[in-house]
Formats: sequence, structure tokens, C-alpha cells
Amino acid sequence: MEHSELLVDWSRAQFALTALYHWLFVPLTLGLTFIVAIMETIYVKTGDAKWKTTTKYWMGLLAINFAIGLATGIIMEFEFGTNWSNYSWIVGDIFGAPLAIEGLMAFFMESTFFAVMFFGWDKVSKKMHLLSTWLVAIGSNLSALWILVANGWMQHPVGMHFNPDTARNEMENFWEVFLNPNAVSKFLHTISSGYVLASLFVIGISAWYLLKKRDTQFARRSIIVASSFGLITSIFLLTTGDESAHQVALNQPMKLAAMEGLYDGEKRAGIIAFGVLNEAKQIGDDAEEFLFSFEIPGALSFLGYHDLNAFVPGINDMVYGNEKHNILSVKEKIRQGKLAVAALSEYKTAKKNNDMPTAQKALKIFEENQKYMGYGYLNDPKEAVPDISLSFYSFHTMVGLGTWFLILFLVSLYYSMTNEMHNKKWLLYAALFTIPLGYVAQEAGWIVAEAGRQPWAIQDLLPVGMAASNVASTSVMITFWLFAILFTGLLIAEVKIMLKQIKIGPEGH
Amino acid sequence: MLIAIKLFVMFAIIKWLFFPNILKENFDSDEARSEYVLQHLTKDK
Repeated sequence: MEHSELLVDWSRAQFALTALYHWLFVPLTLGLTFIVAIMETIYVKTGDAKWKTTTKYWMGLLAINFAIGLATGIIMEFEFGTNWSNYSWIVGDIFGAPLAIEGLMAFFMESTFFAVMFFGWDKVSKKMHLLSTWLVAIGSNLSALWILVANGWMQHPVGMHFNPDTARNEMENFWEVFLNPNAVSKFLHTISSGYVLASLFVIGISAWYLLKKRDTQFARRSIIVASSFGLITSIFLLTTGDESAHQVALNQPMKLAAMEGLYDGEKRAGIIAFGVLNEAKQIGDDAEEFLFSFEIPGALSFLGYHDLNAFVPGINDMVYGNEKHNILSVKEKIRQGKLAVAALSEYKTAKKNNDMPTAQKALKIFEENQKYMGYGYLNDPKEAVPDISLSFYSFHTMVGLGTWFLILFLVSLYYSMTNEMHNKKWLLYAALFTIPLGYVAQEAGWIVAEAGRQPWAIQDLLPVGMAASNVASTSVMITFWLFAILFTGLLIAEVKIMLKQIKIGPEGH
Repeated sequence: MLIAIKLFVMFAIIKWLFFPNILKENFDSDEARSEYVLQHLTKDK
């Protein structure tokens, strides 16, 4: 790699820190905006003032989350220009369009109607206020759309052409970028996970009121809405997760293999429902993958390829190649990648010397091998494998918790409909303690998505080591700790202000 | 108020002090930036 590993590691750590903290605030906003919109719709339909109180209470907590979380994501844009300047230059044209649309359309819409939603209760008509609330929900989710289109492109770059004269990827087809199946499934999976988190948040806090035997009717109303919303969106989350895994299988098979700790590919591959990885296991050796595991046969083949008997390539198949299944080894990809890099270099020199025949010849070689250009920067085939433990455990944590959330929504909906929830202390405590688990699942999901695609900044084309800027690692370390302190402060402020508001309750709000 | 202070800290202090746009600050033209990145991509490893 070009830069010192220390610098790249700190740059990655800083980006991960800011992304993970940012993602503590965003999903709640994505989901809570819809929950308050549903509650306000009931208020407008029924005219029952209790629903107005309920809506305003949750809107207050939404306001706290919005105010504190606002602009934490902008730090990542700063980091692109400083720590990831090569990457920013190379992807500039692709990232520019979606992010500009986000700035102009979604953010503008979201911010404008936020003001009406929070401050316009007695200033605009009921219907206008309700419309504003729904537009805030839609606007917030549209903001996520453009970011995830950009992220989806990094994981599955389509609709572009690399210009060897400018070193930039230029967009050839906006719709191919926008409708990139990876981006679509990622967007739907991400926003629905936000809906689930917000539902858990509402149920958990309402459960606290029931445990304290106060504001019980408010709590029951909130639980009914949140459990219904959570249940529907959990089912949607399952289907979008299935599609996400299918896209990973098609475009990032190494990530899928790491997520499942699958070293040797097989037909009718199973999903590990529960297992402990053998940390002594090395790529290419004969050691057992797991110390123990419980597997669901055929499930991984079905999840990845929608066929119970499909062959799912393992890490060894991809590192060493598998002729039978027509899988190129990483070694071969490295060879082709190095040809692409050398040809690009030759093209550049020939152009400078005005030697057009040589430039054309080099360009042809570059285009023939460009698909694996990123591999040209790797030195060892094992560098193409992400952290298996991190990918495996994050994925299984996410899936396991997602299953628990679905059960919780079902049970809490049932008991809230039968008006028995306040008597079920075990359920109330379970709901309360599931709030932090919702955040754990959110972060685990991002770790699967981002750590699982390593070493790539852009899949197969640019490894993170080449994407990083050549800056002093000490300055990255300083800003890392600066953000660690700043974001931890923001998080503490959020929790403290929210706890204060929760203790005040809906009536005193 | 909280939002205003936060935005001020982020844009006026953090961005200005710690996050220069490397390619914009070090090069005057897109041509020079392209040249730099191409050189980075094709340097012998």
C-alpha cells in the first residue's frame, strides 16, 4: 500500500468513529418522524386531544435527537477532503450528483417543514401541520436515499467510466447509479432498520411509564402504534435484508463468505444460526472453521442465490481460485490489476511525450484489465479478505437481535391490544432493556456493511490504502480524539436531556 | 441556540483548523490535481 499502515488505520478509525456516532442519531430520526406522523394523523382524524398530547410528547424527543444529531454527518464530508482526498477526487463526479441533490432537495424540504412541525402548532391549520409532519418524515428519508445511493455505488460501482486523463470516474448513466440494485436494497434495509429502532424506542420508554404506573393510557396508545409500526417494518426489514444479502452474494461474494465464516464453498450451503469461530483457523489450512456451531442446511444458498442447491463460494475458493466454478484466484486478479496500473502509467507517459500509438496501445491494455485495477495495489492475496471475526459476529448479532425485535413487537402488540401489558412486568423490563439493543443492532449492521467490504474503498477498483491522503498520522490521531470527546459529549447531552423530558412526562411537556 | 453553537464549532473551528481540502489547497487547477492523483495511482509499489 502507498501510505503507512498507521496512517490508513487512523484515517479509517476516525471515519468509523464519526460514522458510528452519526448513526446513533440518524435512525431514530428516520423512524420517529413516521411514528409522530401516524400519531398526528390519528389526532386529525379523531379530533381526540389525547392523541395531540401523545404526538407532541414524541415530537419533543424527536426535536432533541434532531438538534443534537444535526450535522454530525458533515464531519465525514470534511474527512473526505482531508484524509481521503485521492478517493474524493477519483469518485468526485459520482458522489457530486447524489450529494448535491440531497443538499438541494431533501435537506431543504426537511429543514423547512421541521420549523412548521415544531413551532407551527397554533400558527397553521391542522391539515397544513399534518402535511408538514409527513413531509419532514419523507424529507428525512430522502436525505438518507442520496447518501445510500453514493454508498451503494462504492460497494457496486456501476454507470460510470474511469477517465485515464483526469483520474476521475465520470457518470455515464444517472439512472444506473440511482437504481443500482445494491443502493436500492441498502436504502430500503437501512431506513426500515430506523423504523424498527424508533419503534423499540417508543415501546421501551412507554414500558417505563407502565412500570412506574404513570401516564398509562398515553403509554398504551404509544405502544399500540409503535408495536404495529415495528411489526410491519420488521417484516419489511426481513425482506430487504434478504435482498441485501442477495446483492452481496452477486457483487461482493468475499463479504458474504466472511459474514458466514465460510472458508470452503459448497452447494446447499448452510447458515450458521449460532456458532463460535475457531480463531486459530487460517486461510488455506485444514483446521475446523468453528469450535462449535448450529447450522441451518441450504439456508445460505437460498439467502444468497434464492436457490437451495446453489454453490456458495468460500474464502479459499476466491483466494486460490476454483476452476470448476469458474472463479478467478486473487493472485490472477492481482496480475491483471498490476497490468492495468502499469498500462495506465505507460499511457500517461506516452501522452506526455505525444506518442499516440503507444498511448493507444497502453489504453487498450488498461481497459482490458481495468476491472481488477484495485487488486494491482495488493501484494498478498490474503489482503483481499476482510476481518472474518468482525464480519461474522456483527452479522450474527444484527440478525439475532432483529429476530428478537420481531418477537417483541408481536408480543407487545398482543398484550397492549388486550390491555394486559401493564401487568406483564417481564415484558415491560424486556422492552425497556431492548432500547440499547436496538442501537447495538444498528451499529452491527454498519460494521457488516463497511468492515465486510474491506480492503475496498471502491469495490475491486480502489483499496483504502490508495484512497487515503498523505497527511501526518499525528494530525489524524489528534482529530480522532477530538471527535471522540466531542461526540461523546453530544451523546451524554442527548441522553441527559431526553431523560429529563421523559421524567417530566407527556402531561408536563 | 444549541444548533447555532454546534454549527459554528463544526464549520468555523473544526473545518477551518483541522480539515483543509488537501487537493484544493495544494494545487491551483484541476489539471494539476489530476496529475497528482494519476501519479499516486501509477507510482511503482
